[in-house]
Order: sequence, then C-alpha cells, then structure tokens
Amino acid sequence: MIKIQNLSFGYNRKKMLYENLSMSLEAGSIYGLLGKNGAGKSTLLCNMMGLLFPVSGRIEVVQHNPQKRQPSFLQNVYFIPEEVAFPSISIHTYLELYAPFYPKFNEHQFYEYLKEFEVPNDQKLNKMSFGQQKKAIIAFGLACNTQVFIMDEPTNGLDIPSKSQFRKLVAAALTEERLFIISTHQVRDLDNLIDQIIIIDESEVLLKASIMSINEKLCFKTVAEPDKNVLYAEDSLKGKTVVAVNVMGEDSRINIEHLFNAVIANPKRIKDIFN
Amino acid sequence: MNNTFNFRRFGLLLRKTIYEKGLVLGGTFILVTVLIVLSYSSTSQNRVSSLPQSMGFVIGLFSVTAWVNILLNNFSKKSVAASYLTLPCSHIEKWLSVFVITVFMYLPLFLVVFKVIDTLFLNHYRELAISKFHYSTKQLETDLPYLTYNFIEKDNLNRMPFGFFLPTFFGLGGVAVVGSLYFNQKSYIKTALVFLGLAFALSLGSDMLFRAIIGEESSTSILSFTKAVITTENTRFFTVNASESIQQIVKYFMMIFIPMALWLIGLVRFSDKEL
Repeated sequence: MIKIQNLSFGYNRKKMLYENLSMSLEAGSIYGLLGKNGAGKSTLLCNMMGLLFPVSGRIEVVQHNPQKRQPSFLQNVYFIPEEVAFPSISIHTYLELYAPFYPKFNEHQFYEYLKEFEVPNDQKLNKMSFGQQKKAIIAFGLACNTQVFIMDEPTNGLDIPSKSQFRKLVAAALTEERLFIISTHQVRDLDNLIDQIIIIDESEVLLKASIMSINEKLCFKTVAEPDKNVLYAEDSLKGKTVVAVNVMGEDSRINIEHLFNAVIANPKRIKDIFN
Repeated sequence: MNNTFNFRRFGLLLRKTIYEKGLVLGGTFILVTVLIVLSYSSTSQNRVSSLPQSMGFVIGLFSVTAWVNILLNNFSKKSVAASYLTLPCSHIEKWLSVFVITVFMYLPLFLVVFKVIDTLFLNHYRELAISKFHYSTKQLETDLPYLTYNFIEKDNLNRMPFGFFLPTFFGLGGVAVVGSLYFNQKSYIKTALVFLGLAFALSLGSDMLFRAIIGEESSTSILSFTKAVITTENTRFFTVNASESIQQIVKYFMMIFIPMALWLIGLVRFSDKEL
C-alpha cells in the first residue's frame, strides 16, 4: 500500500535527512514509527502525504504519487499532524464542511467515537482544550475510513484514560484494507496496539519488523547477570531487565521502550539479527 | 475520478472557505467602506468630488491585496497548512476558489458600495452647494459630478475607467496571490516590501538608463515606460513619446500579460507548495 524506493530528502542539500531509504508497508497493519526527537519521523510522514517533496527517489501511496496531491489520493488518506488547529466552528459545522470531501465518511461512527472519547459536541472546536481537540480530530480521522490513516504524535496531550481509549478505538477500526501509521517518541503509548515496528535514527531505518518476528528473534526478561546475548540491560528491583537474542526460543512480552533502547544502542547487531 | 476539476468539490470548497473566512472578509470589507466614507467626509470642504472618488479607487484597489491574503493565509501554522494542503481538492479548485471569491464577490460588492456612498454624499454636497453657495446646474456638473463606471478612458477622474481599473485590480490581486503562496510568515508585509522594492528599482533603473543615454546635464523622468520628460539646464522641457506600436506593446504587457502571469504563477505555486 505504501512503497518507498531510494528516498532521499533533506531540508538542506548539503545535509540530507534521508538517503536511499526504501521500505514497503502493507494494508491490515498498524505501524509504529519510533525515533528520537529530530530523527525525521514527521518529515517521513510529510513525504508520504505529499506535504514535503523528496530530493530523489519515489514514493507510492495507494497507487498514487503523493507529490501530485490529487483529490483521488487525498480522499483515501488522512493525516493528523502533531499540532492541530481548528477554525472557530462547532463540531457539527466542522462535520458539515469537511466530511463531504471524504466519500467513505461515516457520521454515526464519528459520534460514537466522540462519545467514547467523552468529547462534548456542543462546544466550538477552537475553545476546547488541546487534548479535546486532539480527540475530536482523531475521531474525525477514524470516521473518514480512508485506506491510509497517518497520525503524528497522536497521544500528545491525551490524559491516561484517553490514551487507553485511543488504543481501543484504533485497534477496533483496523480492517484488512486499511493501514495505520502512528509516529511517536512516547513508545509506551503504543503498547499492545501496533503489530509492526519501524525504528529510525541517524537518517536510516534501523528496524522494520513485525511484533511476531521480534518475539521470535529477541526476548525480554529479567536476569541476575547479563550474558553475551544481551543487547540492552536496565537495572530493576528484581535484577536486570534485558533485551537479548532469543537463542532458546523463549516466549516473552515485548517492552517497546527497551526494544527501542536496544536498537538505538546496537544498530548494527540488530540489523544482522533481522536481516 | 476527475482529478482536475469537479463542480461538487469546488462548491464544497467555496462553502467551506466562505464559512470559515467570511467573518474576517466581511470585517475587512466594512473597514474598506469606513475608509471610503472617511475620505468623502474629510474632503467635504473642497466642494469637488474628484478627490474622494480617486481615493476610493485607490482604497478599493489596494484592499484587494488584503482580501486575497486573508483567503490564502493558511501557511503560517504548519497544522493549518497541512489541513489545507491535504484537503481533497485539486490545485485548480483551490486557486479558482480564491479567484472567484475575489472577482465575483469583492469586486461587485466594492463597486456597488462605492457607488452608493458616492451618490449619498454627492446628493448631500449638491444640496449644500445649491443652498449655501448658489451653484448653477452647470457648476454642479463640473465640480460635483457623480461617479460613473466607464470602459472608455476619459480625462475626468470621476469617470472610473475600467480599462485601467480592472488590470490594476487583477495585477494587485495577482501580486497578493504570489506573495501569500511564497511567504509563509507575515506574508502580507513581506509581499508589500518586495513589491515596493521592485517598483522602486524598476523606476530608478529605467530613469538611470535613460539618463545614461541622454546625458548627465539634463534631468529626466520616465512615465508609464512609454514617455520621457527631459528638462535641460535652462529649464526647457522636451517630451519624447515611444512609437505607437511600442506604446501598444507596453500597454498590453502591463495590463494583460503581467496580471495574467501573476495569477498563473499562483496556480503553479499551488502545486509546488510544501509545508
């Protein structure tokens, strides 16, 4: 559904942010795009949406070149930027003005999502708190039923109950035909939600793997002393919590935060393990 | 699906734009009206109508730049820019919505309001002129003529020549379109500075070129790029006109080519626009 071939992009020609980046993202998955601040997550998403143009290389999203920003492309993708800004109108008016642009928009779903998020629908959007605005736009984006739904730091500004509501709603909205990309640096917010992880740092993709494949190749456990298979260790009350190469085929629960730290600390070794 | 132009999409975009920006556009128009009224009020002692009428033209002409800037003021915030650029409409539809709202809303509204203000004020001035200063009908026609809209250029300033007004209107509108799409922050001020700078450089450059050709001992000034006034040391005036064909070329270049080119650059810029 999204194909990126040899993408090079930089705000400055002398210092490229990405060089020859290639990857392919398939429908039916929720991708978590993780990276440190300034790693280029938002830039990559903007390239996918046609809001920034690559210096070279090719991006194809739902069989369109995003750069052309054709209506047939735009009504099949929805993007929520990190900061949201609304005009001074009510939710009902917003719905009347914006929903007709998206042919698969479902009004019933929209009001259901608002109810789940506990967003009052009688207030003007610009008068709402940042968190409420964020929830309103997430509800709208989900109800658009676009094939690709991209969210940049969607959990910023959400309170703890709203974060779990968010995970529940996004997981329920996923179908075989849809693809969700969620970019965040708050990796814990994506626990139990994503089924594919992409970690980027220093202009390259360090890891792109499914949760299943990560479980097969790495294990997350607590040990007394780290051995040579350990990629990352962190002190805990019971000893050391580690991410290690799964040589024994152990079953474990992925800790995304530890995985992220392990990938950032051992990029070369991670690449060897997953390639 | 038609990715170039679709009437339904265009209608939705117009509705959305007017709904969201209507209040600011209306406020700007009220300000324009107040300025015109003030210009008529402040010149009541002169007992001539040509001055407020000329000021009204100028106010109307320059206000189109503010009007266009409000319509395209979508790029100062990244979130607003992302929402605008990813709205499922073609570049032509977005461009045309600015053109239509400017030409089919601002222009007729301005012309009607200007005419109404002129008629009301001149009725009052004429009554005063008759009762206090005993003006004859002939004097009224000479000093206090009503504003009329004409396609043919006349010497009287009160006859607004569309042959001059419309190209200038489209030209200034085009400048505002290009400026608003090139500058993301403080676009109105930056556009005004660039426009004034270019106008000054062009005027100075042509004067310097002419002076270099004619000689330093005489002072020269270029008018409309087709007429030069030369003043020699003994204060003798010479007027040099360009040939008829050159005058026609310059006229069409300034009045048709430049406004058209500016609006078309705006259209191209819509497709090139990034965050």
